[in-house]
Amino acid sequence: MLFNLIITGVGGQGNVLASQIVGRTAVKKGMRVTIGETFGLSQRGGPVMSHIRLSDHGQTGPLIPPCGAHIILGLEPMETLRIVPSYGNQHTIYIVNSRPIYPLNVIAGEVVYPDLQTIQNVLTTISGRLYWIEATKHALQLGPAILMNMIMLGALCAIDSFPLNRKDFDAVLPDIFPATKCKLNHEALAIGERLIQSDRISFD
Amino acid sequence: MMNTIFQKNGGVRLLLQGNEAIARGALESGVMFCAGYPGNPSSEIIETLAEAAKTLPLYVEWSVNEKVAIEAATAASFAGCRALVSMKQNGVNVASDFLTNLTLSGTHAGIVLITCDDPSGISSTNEEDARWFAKLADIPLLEPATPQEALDMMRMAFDLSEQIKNIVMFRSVSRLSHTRSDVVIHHLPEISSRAFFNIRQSFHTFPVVAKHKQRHEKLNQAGDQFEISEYNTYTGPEHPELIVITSGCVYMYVKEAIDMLHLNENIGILKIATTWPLPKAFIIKHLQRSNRFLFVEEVDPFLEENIQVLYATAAGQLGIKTFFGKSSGHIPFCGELTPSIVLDCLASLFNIKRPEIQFQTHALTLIQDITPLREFGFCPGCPHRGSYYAIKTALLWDNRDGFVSGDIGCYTMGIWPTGFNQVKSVHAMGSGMGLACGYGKLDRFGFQQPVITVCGDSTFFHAAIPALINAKFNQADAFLVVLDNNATAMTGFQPHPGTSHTVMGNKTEPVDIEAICRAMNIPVSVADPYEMLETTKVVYRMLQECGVRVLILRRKCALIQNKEGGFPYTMKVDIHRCRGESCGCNRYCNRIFRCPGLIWDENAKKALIDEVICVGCGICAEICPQQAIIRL
Amino acid sequence: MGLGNLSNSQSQISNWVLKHNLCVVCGACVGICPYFNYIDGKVMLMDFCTQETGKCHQICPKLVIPDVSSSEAFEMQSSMGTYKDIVMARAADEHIRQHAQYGGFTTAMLIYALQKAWIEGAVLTNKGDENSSTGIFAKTPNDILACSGSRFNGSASLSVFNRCLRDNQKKIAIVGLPCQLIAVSQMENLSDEGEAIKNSIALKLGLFCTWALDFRRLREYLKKQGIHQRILKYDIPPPPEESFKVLTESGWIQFPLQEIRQLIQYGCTSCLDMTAEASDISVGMAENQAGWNTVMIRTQRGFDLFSQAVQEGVIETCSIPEANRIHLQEASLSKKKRGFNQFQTIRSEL
Repeated sequence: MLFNLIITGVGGQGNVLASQIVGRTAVKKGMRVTIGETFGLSQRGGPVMSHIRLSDHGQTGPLIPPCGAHIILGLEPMETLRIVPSYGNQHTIYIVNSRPIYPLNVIAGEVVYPDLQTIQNVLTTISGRLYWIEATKHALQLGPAILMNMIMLGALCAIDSFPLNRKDFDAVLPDIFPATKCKLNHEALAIGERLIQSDRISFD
Repeated sequence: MMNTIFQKNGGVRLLLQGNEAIARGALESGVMFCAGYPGNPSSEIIETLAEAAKTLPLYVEWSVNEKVAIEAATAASFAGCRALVSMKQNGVNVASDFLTNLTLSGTHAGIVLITCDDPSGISSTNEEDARWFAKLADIPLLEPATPQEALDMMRMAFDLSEQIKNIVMFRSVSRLSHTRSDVVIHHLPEISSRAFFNIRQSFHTFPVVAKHKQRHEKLNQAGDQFEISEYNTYTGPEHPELIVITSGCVYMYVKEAIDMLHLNENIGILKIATTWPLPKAFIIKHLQRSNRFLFVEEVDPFLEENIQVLYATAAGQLGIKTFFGKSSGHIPFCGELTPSIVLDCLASLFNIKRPEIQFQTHALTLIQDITPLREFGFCPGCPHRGSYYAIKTALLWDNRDGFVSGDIGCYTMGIWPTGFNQVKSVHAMGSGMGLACGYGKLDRFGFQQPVITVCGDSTFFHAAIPALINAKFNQADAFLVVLDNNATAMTGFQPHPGTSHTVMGNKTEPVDIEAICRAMNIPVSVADPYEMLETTKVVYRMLQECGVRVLILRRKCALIQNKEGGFPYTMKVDIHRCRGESCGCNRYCNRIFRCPGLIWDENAKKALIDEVICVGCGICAEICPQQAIIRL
Repeated sequence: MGLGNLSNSQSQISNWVLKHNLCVVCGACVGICPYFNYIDGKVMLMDFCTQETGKCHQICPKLVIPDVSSSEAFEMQSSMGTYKDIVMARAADEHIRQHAQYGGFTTAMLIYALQKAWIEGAVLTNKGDENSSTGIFAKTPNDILACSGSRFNGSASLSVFNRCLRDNQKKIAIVGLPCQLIAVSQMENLSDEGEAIKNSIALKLGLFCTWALDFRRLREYLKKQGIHQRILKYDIPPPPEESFKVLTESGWIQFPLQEIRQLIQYGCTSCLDMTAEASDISVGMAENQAGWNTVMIRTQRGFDLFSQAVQEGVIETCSIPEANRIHLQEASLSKKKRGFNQFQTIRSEL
């Protein structure tokens, strides 16, 4: 088994933490794990991408080869779209948070942020497996916006082909968060999982 | 999350970042003294060790700069304590004056210099390959390929240094330093050494020629060890059509690319982990296996050039060989290597069509026109936005084509629209002030433009002080603005002499930038970059003054403020007051001020606060011509 | 008669007025948006604006093409614009006259208009916090008194007028140089808000002007001459003295007018208006008549206020010597001709 997951978004969305949770969960399950992180100026709102590679045999390199992602977890719509040619393929599953974070050049009106419907159309055309979820909206209902990353992880583990499930994630949270914060994160995972499960009905 | 990294017991498999693996490896080697200066991608090494110092008997510091760091660490080595010094590639340049002499004097206890290079300059001003320093100063050089190797090879580095009595260089790259992977850790040793400087020994470079000769002998000693290193490997067919000679983490790309292209029967991999001095016999032995070789390494053709020289010494015996790599154009000279580049290269050498290209081309046509690049910007709440806004305004008010001389930190982004494109030069730490010394003496040649030099608080201590003294001494007309955000922010908020604690958590009396300036009799003012109009007036006033003067723009980094309890305001746009795109505003806040938290509502045609992004610093209220941006 | 290939409102100002150094620092474009700032005697373009139908280019006096189409354009008779009467006048109040550069007419008129609630305040030029003067909206007699005296450099005081408009201020008096009153006329003619602007103005007092100095160059010049102190007052004594005087805390210092002329704002050289033709009342010095002003009554509004002030004894008048009137006419015509030639030269260089 070799599973290639990409978590993509922008600085400040909790990408690195999310990828660490996946990695630590996988190590706990006895898998070999390599996570490549690109976060040059990420604190400064630049794109951040984590390549998470889970394997049950030897070590893998820190970067996923071209078109090699099984799942792309997009914390931000445009950043998801950006990496499709590099890492997507016909079978890639996309789980995308619908909430854009506008780059400064878009805010300034110099370039146009891609229309959200267009993004969905492109992803659907290319893969046929798109879960478009309002993770930020649900996070804000639950508490701080940063919980979005946990909702996205909840959604991730609801995907059948992904080799970890919510129980696995739940088991790792106490190692990572102080006890006071665990409950909220467990809830966020559960919300994410539900969002996918309810979405699946429309797929079947 | 850290505690498990520091456990005594070995044999456990942990998820470690490359830098954490390096730190663990150092601990497993009995390191006692660690120093460094922050810089991506190296910073987590010292941070991890500092965390370890809370429970383990070692000393860790962020030094004021890389040269002082290596000097401090060397003292520990002289006194019999294993020492580590860590920095990014640019840092090696700073340390190099000491380094090139140290390798003549020799060392005592094991000492390792870690350089974390940054191919593509993902968070650097250059993509320098620091390996050349190993060749320049006859230093043994190790290059691990994976976090596991990074951990394991640290012991080798310390042991070797102790054996040959010279410093050893250990090279990581961003992709290794910032990769997390499952790593098996080993036992931590008990540390029993006592620091003692044996006064019968001495460390200097004289007589120079004799010491130089000794240095070469030490290097040869290292070379002999490298011949039998387990980290140098050959895998592949007995006589492949091609051998890829590689080092560092790109080894993994090569391995996977060969699998993906089903070329295991055709290609062998010669992985070199001891890149200087070359394990000559080992390499020549494997050169006999094939007639075609491809070099894959980051960044410069280091192995490529050195191995070709080595080949030339044995060409008679080896016969004619063909070498591919950067020189032949098969591998790009510049930028980080990726699996895609390696695949492309191998596929072209073997005339293989890559099936995924069709998908890529199709996907690219769908997205390329609708996916703009994401412009870098200061964080919401960043004081630098206010500082540069004030500087920009003051320079325009002044109207003499003034400009900003900058250097390295978050504020380097002043070269981009987020800093209103104010910064016109960026080179090395403190170099903005050095340049200012020059501009400040050009008046005799008709130079009339005012120059503002910006440097961060950490940079001020690192390298700006000598230049400031030079400006004072030589009576340059120089205006230094210290962007004091109370942290080494770019690299992750490391403490520095101006903050009140050390990396080990000890309280320390902050070094006062104002007091330093006053001691030189340099006039110094302080302003708050959040008060943009007031700050603008101060900058403008100081632009009219002459001689050396310093303005400290002081406000904590937004991310620190966030950690310390956040910001005072909830921001709101009064849509009745907002003029949107019409005359009198024309989206001034969006187009000019450019804060990621202040966006445009396409439907209402008005400005809008992005509740997810805005932190509530409130400074945008000052720039709205209609007072439509309100602090609640 | 277009001004070249210019794409938007702001670029007409930046590419024509500012780039060619034609700005006369009237301040009309300052304060309506964040893109223009005024400081220390200069108007600066701060940021690029993409607005294509903005106000700034419609109100800038240096983008007004002089109307010289009629045959009378350069005739002696019409060289001072239209007016109902021209007299010599001065403030009756001796205290005001003492503060004044000439006869204190402007100060007296404004205080009178304020007291009679004819106006609620006046856009004036103060002495500035450092050395440069800036606009002020004076709402008390003391504020008005504090502004008396000549400045000889632009102050962008119309930026204060813009602020008044933003604050919905009514009954505004504007005291301005000819260029500023041209700008105000442009503002009154704006298609959408012109009428409202017109209605908020109660009085336009124009000041005679032959030229103004570039403040920053003057400051540099004075610095080079060793003057670093605050300048309290400027004066150009009547010919044939040919000198420029500044009052500092250590007394009056005199400079050759010939040198000062080098510091004239370039934009002034293409100006056709000496006597502030777009005013209700224009005011200037009275040649060879110390302590008196020359006053031109141009509009009914101006006439009404002036007559009342004279009737109530606030203003004293006497008739203007014919030689003075003719000399003023000649000077005005000469500025018109010179200005128009220069305007054409500059435009041909664009």
